[in-house]
Amino acid sequence: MKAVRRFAELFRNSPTFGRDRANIISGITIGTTALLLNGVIMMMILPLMLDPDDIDFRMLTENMEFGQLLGLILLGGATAFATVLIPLRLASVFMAPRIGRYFDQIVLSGISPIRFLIGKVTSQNLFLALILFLLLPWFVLVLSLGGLEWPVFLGNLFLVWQYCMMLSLAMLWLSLYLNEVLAGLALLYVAAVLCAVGCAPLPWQPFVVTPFPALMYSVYSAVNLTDPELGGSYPGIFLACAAGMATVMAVSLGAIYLGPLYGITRDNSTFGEVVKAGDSKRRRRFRFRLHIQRPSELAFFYENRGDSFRKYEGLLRWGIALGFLLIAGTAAWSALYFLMTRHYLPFIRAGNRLPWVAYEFHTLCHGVHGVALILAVFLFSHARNTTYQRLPVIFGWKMQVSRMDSAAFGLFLLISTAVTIGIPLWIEQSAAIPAGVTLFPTTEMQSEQHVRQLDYLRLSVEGTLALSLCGVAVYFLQRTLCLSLWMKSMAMAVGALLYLAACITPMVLGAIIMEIPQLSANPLLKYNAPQLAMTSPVMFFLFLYQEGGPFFREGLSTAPFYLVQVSIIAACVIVMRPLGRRLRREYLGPLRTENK
Amino acid sequence: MAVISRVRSLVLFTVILTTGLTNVDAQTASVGDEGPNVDFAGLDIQASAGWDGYVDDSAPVSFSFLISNNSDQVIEGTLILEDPLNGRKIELGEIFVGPNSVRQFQSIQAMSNWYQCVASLSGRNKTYWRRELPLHTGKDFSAEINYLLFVDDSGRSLQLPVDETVSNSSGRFLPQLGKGNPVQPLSAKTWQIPRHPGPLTVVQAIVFSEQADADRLNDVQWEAIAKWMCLGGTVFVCEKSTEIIDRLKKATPLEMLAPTSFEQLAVYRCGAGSVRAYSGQLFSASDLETPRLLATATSRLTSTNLASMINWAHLSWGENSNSDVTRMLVVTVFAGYWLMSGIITLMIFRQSRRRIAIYTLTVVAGACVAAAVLGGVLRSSYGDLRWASITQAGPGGIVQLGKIDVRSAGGRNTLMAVRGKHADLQLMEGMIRDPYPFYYFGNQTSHDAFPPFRWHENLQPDTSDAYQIRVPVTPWGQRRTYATGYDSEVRPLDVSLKYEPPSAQWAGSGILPGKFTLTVTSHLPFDLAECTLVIGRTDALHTAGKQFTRQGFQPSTQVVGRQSGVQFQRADANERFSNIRSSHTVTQEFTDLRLRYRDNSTWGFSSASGVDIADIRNNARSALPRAIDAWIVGKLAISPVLAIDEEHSDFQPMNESHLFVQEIPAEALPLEWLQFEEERLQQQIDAALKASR
Repeated sequence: MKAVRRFAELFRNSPTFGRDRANIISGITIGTTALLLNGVIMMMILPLMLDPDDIDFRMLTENMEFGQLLGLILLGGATAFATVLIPLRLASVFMAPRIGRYFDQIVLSGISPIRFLIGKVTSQNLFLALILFLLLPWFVLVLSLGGLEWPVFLGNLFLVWQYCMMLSLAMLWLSLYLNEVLAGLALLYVAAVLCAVGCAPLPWQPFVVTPFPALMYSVYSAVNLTDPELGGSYPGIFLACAAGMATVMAVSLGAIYLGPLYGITRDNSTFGEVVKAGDSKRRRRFRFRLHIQRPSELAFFYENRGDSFRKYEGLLRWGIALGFLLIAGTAAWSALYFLMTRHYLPFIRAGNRLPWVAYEFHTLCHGVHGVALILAVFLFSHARNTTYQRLPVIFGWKMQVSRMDSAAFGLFLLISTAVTIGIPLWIEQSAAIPAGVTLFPTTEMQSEQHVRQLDYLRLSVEGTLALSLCGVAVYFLQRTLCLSLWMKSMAMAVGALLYLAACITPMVLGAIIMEIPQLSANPLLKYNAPQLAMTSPVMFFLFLYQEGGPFFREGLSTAPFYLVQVSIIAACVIVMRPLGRRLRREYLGPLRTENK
Repeated sequence: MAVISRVRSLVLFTVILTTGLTNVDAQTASVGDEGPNVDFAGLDIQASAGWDGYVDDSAPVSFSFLISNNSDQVIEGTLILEDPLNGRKIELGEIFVGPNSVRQFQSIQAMSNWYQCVASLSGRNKTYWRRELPLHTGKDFSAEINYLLFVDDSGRSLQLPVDETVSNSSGRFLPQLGKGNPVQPLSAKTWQIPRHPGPLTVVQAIVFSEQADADRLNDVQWEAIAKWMCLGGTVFVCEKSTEIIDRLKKATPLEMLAPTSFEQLAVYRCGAGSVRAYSGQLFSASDLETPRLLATATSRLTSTNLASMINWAHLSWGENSNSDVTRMLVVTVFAGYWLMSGIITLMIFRQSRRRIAIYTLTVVAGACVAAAVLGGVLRSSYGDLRWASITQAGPGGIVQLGKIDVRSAGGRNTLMAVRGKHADLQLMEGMIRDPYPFYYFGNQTSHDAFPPFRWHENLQPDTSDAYQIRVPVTPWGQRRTYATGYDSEVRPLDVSLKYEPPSAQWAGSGILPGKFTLTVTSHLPFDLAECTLVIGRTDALHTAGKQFTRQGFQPSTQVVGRQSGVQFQRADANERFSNIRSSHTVTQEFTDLRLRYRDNSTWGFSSASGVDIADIRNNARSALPRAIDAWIVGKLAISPVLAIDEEHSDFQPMNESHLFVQEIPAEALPLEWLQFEEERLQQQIDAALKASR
């Protein structure tokens, strides 16, 4: 009971909720909401009234009651309205106290972040209530016209409410990592895309994190665009949407509770503006360090959070990240397995020709592995103020962030590499060979001048190992940059640019030598141009897939590629050591309270 | 190229993966383990769409199935038509076929905008049969060709005499230049004859062989043929097949007249069409004259009929109506609410919270009351109805075809009913588009066949001479229906047209030389207003060789055909003479009638809503089949056969217009004028041919 009471207290005693409640009945709030909301609804209904004979409208309106359609329009309009307005309404959550220069008072008041933020979420209920209140005349029209399916309408209404809550929580979660305006725009974009793809008439709708799949279900079932055999019933799609949004809500709530991992080092050890030596001689615009200041203030704010997860913070953070990668990877591999065994292999067995299926299959396998490694590089690296922070992992045992990053990345690299090599072999043994097909054929790739053998077994194994090596090189590059930069995303962008340059430059140089007759006339250049190009990972993979062109003769050594990747790793290791030593000195010692 | 194709297929592969693997379902569904065709042991289904491979998707399409169950199982399932490309699906009906029995099934559907048509017979968990019924075979119905449908169950095809010197793989009969349209023979089995005359209106004539058995067609099929005949169709039967003639006499809603001799055939006139009895044999090595006779007679049939005339009627919705009023009400109420709740609330932002709350509550409550009243008004409102009709008088009675446009007033207006003798009402599918001469539609021509519809059952089968259907209409949306009625008790006008040739040789153009004396005696039970004599004439010109000559591509000259460097052009003269009251006789003389060639200045429509004499003048394009034709056209104050059944309709008639037409049959035209015009046409053809050499 005590825990329940404490949980309820979070919502009741939030100062942000009280302030939002006080502001909800105001001319500006009600007027703006009514103006925009009714405008959205009228914009959605007017085309139906002004051009009712449009063939697409007719397909809808002749197959379902106008009252039911109007009900869906109201809820769809409310959802669209919430998608735009809720991120904007929450944009002031940290910005207002920071611009108003009272964020330090909030931090010093000792209020926990969850209690401070949850009020903003709760107050969206008031906003939703205002929306529904302003929509009352429309609902009365729907009722008086008749034809409304009440269970469906109420189910959709619940989903719209859940969507508003999910948007609020997701916005607050994003606000911890991004400037609120950027976070709002990013969320608006993602939500709009998800809403749009949620409207697509797919027999099995995977994008169930908006109410639109459920809203559109009535429309599509009226025009026979749903497939009951694939679970296309309203209760099914309702439950899927509710579960999808509940998952996002739970993840967001957990993330808000846990907070971002921002460390405090000597440079950002004071609340507010970051001051460095020599600032008095710098111009004012060079003294702004908002990218350091905002995360640092949030780090101070999160010092007020509860102790619930502190003992297992390291385990939680790295466990969740690793878990996310493993779940996402499992989903991708399952989809690939499903695609091959349920569709493509029976399709081939039925006598149809798919000459490129093995090629595409292995390309996709490498694609999944590559994307997973990029995600792992991002998740398992931290900016300079966090790298050498020590976090409790389990039972009070503490570990350095950098070591946990390295261990998690290494573990994931091993798993992903093993899976990328193992699963194609397993599909071959369990599904392809019984179906009389092979995914590892030895095919002849015919170009204009040459006929080459493409060995898919070598392609699969060597390609995967090479990708893993590239992943390691990129990871080392990222970790090196993280030792100097305050933002992980910036390190990622710089690392990507550098690695891209390493990919493109040798390839372009090699191509220039090979294509310009004056240069290729030189036997030394001509002989070494393919070797030079081969140092590029892009060229290496083109060569592996036998797409390199006539200059890349069979039997060409791939050693330059490996040499360059190892060199990148070695260079990073060499640079990391002094950088790391210098950075360690910036880290503060453990906090000592006066009572101890 | 290989790389590009691989990249493209890789992108496709990825899209498939990321969109939930769903498209693959669609791709493999039609080419799965079973393949596109599915069969069931012992089940034999013959299916056809349209006529002998010719499908006109701008007309109602007849689907016919002959289902033979030679197995010991009872086959129970649903016949379905599907378009896999755009996801359309029509359930034709439930099928129950006992062991070792045969069942025929017919359906009439609108196939506009269908790209592919796959028919299947599916049970609960099993597909018994599936075939693609080709809709777009490259064989399209043309307005410049007359079609002769040979109905015979023996599997024979009618061979018409063909000109060996001309490449003609379609077996088409080509008449002498200027003597009619080419004739395309088509074949059909008796089980393919539909239950409604609509699908038959794409053909001009039906021929039964001398061995035809009247009992192979049921009463409904005979009725459909008889009604199609009244609308302008011609049935050729052997003179010995008296049973068929008797069945048609019995089935026709009009009276069939006694036979007269015309073009070496015994002609039984009935409405706008006729039964023509031939005496020879169709499949005899010694008798080649009978097929030629039939082909020649068919080539001279006009494709103009009531359906093609009514297609030109333009129904305007520019005036105030219930739908406009209710639409404005909805917009007014919610625009007012939008302003009051939005703008005004913003303007009073300085007021206290209490006042703002009270104001908002008041506005929302007021808007709720207004919305409730509005909902009630919308629910109880009647939709609008406008209609135009053309009544054609002919031997044996009159036929009326009405084009009825209905528009919802925002409520659930779904029922529509008409009354009248032998009334029929069908709902047109697809977009409503009146034939405006928009430049981007080209010179849009009227379609000669019945507009596409899906056959709707009469919801009032127990009420005589009434037809009610359900009209699914969107709020404020518009639908179009077509009603037909037949009255055999009305006698047509007695018309006498005399002609005196000009005293001197006439060398000028643009004038129909000579003096016409028209005497009309009305036995109609209604008066005719603004009566007009319309005379159509065919002129032959030498082609420049650069013009499009198909109708619909050349708005300036209304060219209706070109052969051997000759093109034919329609010209008409119309002269209004007087009103004709019931039981009165009117005599009028016309001298040197002015001809009007269709060009941009005359091509157009009456601006008034409804159907106008101008529409008939423009549409009566029987120029090529015959050198001349003549019509009496007048306006009617009231509808003679059909009436809107307001009691059983959710729509209120707003306005209506009715037109009367009667064609003076070829045999009633002055012989000296016919000879004069045929000689003139022949001279023009000879001159054009000479110029083209």
